[in-house]
Amino acid sequence: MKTLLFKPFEKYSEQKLLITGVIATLIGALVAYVLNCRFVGVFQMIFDDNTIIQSLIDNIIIICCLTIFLFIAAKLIYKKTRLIDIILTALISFIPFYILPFFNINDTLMKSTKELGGRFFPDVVTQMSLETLLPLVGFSIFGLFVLIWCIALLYNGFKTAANAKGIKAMVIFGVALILADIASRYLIFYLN
Amino acid sequence: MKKLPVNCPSCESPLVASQLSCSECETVISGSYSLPVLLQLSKEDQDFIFEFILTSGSLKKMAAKMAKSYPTVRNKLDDILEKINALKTN
Repeated sequence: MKTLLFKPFEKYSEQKLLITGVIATLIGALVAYVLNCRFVGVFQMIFDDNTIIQSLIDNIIIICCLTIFLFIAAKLIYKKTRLIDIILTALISFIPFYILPFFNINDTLMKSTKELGGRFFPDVVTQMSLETLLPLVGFSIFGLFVLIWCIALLYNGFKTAANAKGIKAMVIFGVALILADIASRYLIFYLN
Repeated sequence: MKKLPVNCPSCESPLVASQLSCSECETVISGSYSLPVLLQLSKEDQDFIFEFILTSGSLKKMAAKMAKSYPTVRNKLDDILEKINALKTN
């Protein structure tokens, strides 16, 4: 179970991972569209109306950014890194994020965040109803767990693809991840 | 099968073969023979190399046989190569 959830890249073949990753990406785009969510960066999700094409392009941009930056980083560490292994890392590692839109069933979180607006959090919490506050708190806690899960998957995939070991590899991975996040935010903002 | 010790349990230096004997006529040869590099690897690494030869050096076949992914098997081979190079240098 631990291998399946955190280290699938060590065990499963390219074909299995590719099929799973592509199907999950398509389903993820559909779920985000139906539940009015948008992935607007590697680590950013907003609640907004969108189209299915827009949702799909968002996912493709994120996967491409992750692939490009992680592949460059992996090549710096290990010359024999294969592109397919990095593509699979990006495809599979993003799967946990596709669970997050389910928190917005009936636009629950969209309404809550709108109610929050730009107001100072401690002030507004006392004025919010428990019905509005609970989904936000639940989403925040689960979101943090999903974020850690996603980073663990990304690092394990990267480590397997690039035979990465040690602090230097971790630093290069971290920089690549931050650059992928920045690039994806810009590209989604300007292109989509 | 008993595991061949390759390092001294006391000081961890590499061991050498100092006596060889014939099980048929009980002839004993004494000397100081260093162990081949492959014998100095762990049992797990030796088994991996054995499997590698049996699959004609195909990492893809090995990955399927070991129920591991291709990069995992390739990384294992690279780690063994690193160990062999380190042993050859010493």
